[in-house]
Amino acid sequence: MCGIVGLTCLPGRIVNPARAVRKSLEKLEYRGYDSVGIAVIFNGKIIIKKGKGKIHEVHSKLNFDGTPGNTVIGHTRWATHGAPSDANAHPHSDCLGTIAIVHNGIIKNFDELKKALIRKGHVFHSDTDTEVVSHLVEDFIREGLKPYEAFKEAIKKVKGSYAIALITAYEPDKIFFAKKDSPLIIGLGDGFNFLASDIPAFLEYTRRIIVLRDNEIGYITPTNVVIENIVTGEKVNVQSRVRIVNWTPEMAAKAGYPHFMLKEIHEQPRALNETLLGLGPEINKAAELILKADRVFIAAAGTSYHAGLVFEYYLAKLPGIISHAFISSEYSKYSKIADSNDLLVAISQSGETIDTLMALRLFKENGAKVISISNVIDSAIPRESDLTVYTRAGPEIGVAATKTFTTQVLVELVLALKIAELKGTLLPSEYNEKMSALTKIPKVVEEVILKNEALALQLANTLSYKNNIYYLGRGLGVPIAKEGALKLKEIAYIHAEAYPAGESKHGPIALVEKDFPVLFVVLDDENKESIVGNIMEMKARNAYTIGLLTYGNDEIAEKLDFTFTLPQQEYFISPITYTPILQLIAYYTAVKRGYDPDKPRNLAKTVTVE
Amino acid sequence: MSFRSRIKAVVLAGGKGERLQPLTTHTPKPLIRIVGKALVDYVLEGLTTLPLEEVIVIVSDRKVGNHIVGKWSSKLLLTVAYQRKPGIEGAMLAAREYLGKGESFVLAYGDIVVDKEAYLRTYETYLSKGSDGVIMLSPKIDVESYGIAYVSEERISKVEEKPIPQRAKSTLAVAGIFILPYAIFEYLETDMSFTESLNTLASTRTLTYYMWSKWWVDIGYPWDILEANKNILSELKGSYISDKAHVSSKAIVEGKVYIDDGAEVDHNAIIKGPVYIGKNSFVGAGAFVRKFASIEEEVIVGAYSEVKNSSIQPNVTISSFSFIGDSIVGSNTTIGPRTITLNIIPSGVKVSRLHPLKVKDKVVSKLGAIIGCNCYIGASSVLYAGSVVESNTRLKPFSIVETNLSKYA
Repeated sequence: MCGIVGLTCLPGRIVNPARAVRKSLEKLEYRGYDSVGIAVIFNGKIIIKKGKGKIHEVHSKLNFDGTPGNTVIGHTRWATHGAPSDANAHPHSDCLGTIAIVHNGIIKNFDELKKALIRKGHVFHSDTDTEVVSHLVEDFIREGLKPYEAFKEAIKKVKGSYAIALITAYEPDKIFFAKKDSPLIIGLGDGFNFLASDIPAFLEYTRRIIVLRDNEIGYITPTNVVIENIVTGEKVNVQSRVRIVNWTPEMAAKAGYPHFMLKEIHEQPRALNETLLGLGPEINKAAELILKADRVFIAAAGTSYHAGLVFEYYLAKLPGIISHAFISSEYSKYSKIADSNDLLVAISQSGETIDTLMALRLFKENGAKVISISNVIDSAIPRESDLTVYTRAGPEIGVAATKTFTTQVLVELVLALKIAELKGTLLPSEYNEKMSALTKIPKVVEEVILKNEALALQLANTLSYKNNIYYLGRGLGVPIAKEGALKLKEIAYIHAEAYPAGESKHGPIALVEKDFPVLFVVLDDENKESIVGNIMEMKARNAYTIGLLTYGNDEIAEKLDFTFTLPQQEYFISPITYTPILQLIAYYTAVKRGYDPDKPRNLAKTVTVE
Repeated sequence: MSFRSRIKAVVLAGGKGERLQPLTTHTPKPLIRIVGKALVDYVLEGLTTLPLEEVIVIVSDRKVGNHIVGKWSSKLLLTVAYQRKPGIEGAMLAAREYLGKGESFVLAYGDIVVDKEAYLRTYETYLSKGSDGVIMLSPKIDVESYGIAYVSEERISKVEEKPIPQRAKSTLAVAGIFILPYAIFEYLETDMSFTESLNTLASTRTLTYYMWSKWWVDIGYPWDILEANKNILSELKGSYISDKAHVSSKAIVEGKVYIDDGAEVDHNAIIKGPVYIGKNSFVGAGAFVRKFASIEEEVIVGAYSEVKNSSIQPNVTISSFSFIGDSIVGSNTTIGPRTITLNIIPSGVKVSRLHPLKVKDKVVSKLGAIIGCNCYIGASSVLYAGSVVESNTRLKPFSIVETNLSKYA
């Protein structure tokens, strides 16, 4: 999610407005970003300072605070269209340098708009979708429209989601804005007005706010606010919309949920849908690379490693390729093995995980090809890979990975199906059938979450008093169990261990005593009967048995103390549909125990030290 | 610039509380006691977290109005209005004239017990989402006894009242805290039900939600009182014994307890928290009051009696050598000596919202007796698990009351 700030003030009303905007941008850092920039109007000219990096890094290079001027816009960017770079950082300008714009959202028809503008002679400086808006405004101004009219006409041409702030050298005390599907809030001051993506950005200066609604457009000056509806043309009664925030609110980005983690669990249908829609020719290329390789290795850490284990399983079961998934930090084991006919799949949400990067470098040095799966465009691992397939989960703020795991698995499944088709292990008709089943995933996940959320809360009441739990599965159920155990460990601080159910008798069962919780991931596959045997052996020791299974398994459900049920589904999607339940169990158990699931102790979102 | 910084709230504290019978024959539902406070006080306390212009409380019993004015008029600007037409629709229409035309308002059910943060977060969601309305949701497994909501893409897509469990595809209960646009009255006026009106709002405007992930109790059935007591008492941060209470130096007080003004705990009594002992109550010599007992005001627990996981409403006397477990006792009732409540519901009897527990390898539902107001239970009576004694009943000594929960089915 990008972050936007705008400030316009009467001279001297706010000391150093550029600094105020930089400070406000820092309050939006939680939204995740890779580059930052500001634009200021001074003496009728627009000055833009922007670059790739953290706020303090770019600030130390360009000195945001030293920029004079009383109308300022600022932006933190999380790359979607175009890699993170100085050129792609916002604000963006037009051909003449008389306009600057910052934007949060995605302009869906930017390609077509951009082509039309280029035909008219406009010169673009970035790969972003955003830049088309400044050129559109420029174009309408050239046609003789006043800046606000030009801005309105430009916004009418744009499709997609946006929160936009735009300044022009022609009317230096105005900031124009428009909002649809991305948040934008006005902060009202005395002799100054703010715009921002979230309330905390300007809370230091004012507590009077107006939350803009979809399709609202207008402008702020230091002493005035104008809002109208772009569709109906109706003017908004500004006074009636002012609200006072008398407390320190939670971040608006998680509005609707007590924690980012719960929000991100619920966001999975959307994240999966966008990931699926976002896949392109890189899937084919990746599939060909994997087919060409002599040996396939998969390196990842934490949750991504569990996604790696799923991929190992998919490759074995779909195209019938044997691969080897390993935990990245153990890469040195392969120093004498890796060679130029090998291929490494590096999986990392952040694309910055140091251990995975080291593993990647080892394989590259030995001439192996590298494919990466990542959620952050142009991060370190994708940059050093031959090819990257991106998940489009959006930034993940909760430290515990949720939506990034299920989207990683989705990418892997699409990839494995493609390889199987190319290899001929799947007939084109089977391939098409399986691919069309994937489009139903978002709906199935939504249904699974709605149906099981209360059960997860209910089970949490029991689990919150336990010190240990086993998560067991067989086959594809093993990585699911491992991911469930990791979630519970990392946020609820309960010792949780996962292993293949068949291993019970080889040791772990010795620890099981009365009421020891054991959770079974029961899939509709050839292992079902064996897993029933495992349930019975745990019951014989008076364990508290919990199971995840699909409808129609009533005779198994009766043997269990607590069950979660899922719709019947395409077998290979189960890691995507079962895992959200395990995420909910961990979430509610953590909350019940009084912990903050977003900030687990001793853990960082991105691990950049070995 | 002048502007509206405050919002009005409507509290629905009318209705008869039929499912709470026989506890509500003499005490209106909003005044049922839960850990030292009236049920409706929890709602009003929650509302104090919001920047309110005015609170309109809809009541159907004068006693409720009097209680609220007496307790809250120094903290909130109150208007008490009487409900004339039945149902939630009737209550809302009674509030309409006090609301500014076109203004959004907070709507709160008067029978919800939840941390007051829930009110603030729901309102905050309304502020930061800029949506037309917000509904607070709470995950609940007993969907058949709640209104439930379907959500998609951060919006409420549909609301369903008391669905058939097999058909319900959501477990998110509508949790009794709302921010609603004034437009809802247009629909209620046309005789649409509240649920239909919410659905019309969901399809014509933007309704978002706040997902509450901690405990939340809707007081519908008598045993919901026990659930609320348990949750509140579990969250006692430490022990509190009022300066005006008297706890014998020979009594044993263990765990977290709240002993209110004027309460007295006699020699050798054992109080094992979390427990609440209300104003001017008396716990006799050798009595044993344990986990999740909430003894409300002016109650006597006689010598050597035991009370656990029970709600003892005001002015109750429990005579010596009795056992009251998992039970709810209505106000002004006297329980004769050596009365015993049993508390394991026979297997096969399903009770809405009562969740079985695993106790020593067996899965059981625990519920004791539900005793109405102004009763007299004769000495040495035995009350079976899930037995109900109607208000104003006089039971002879050695009476036996059997399980009968049919009135709650």
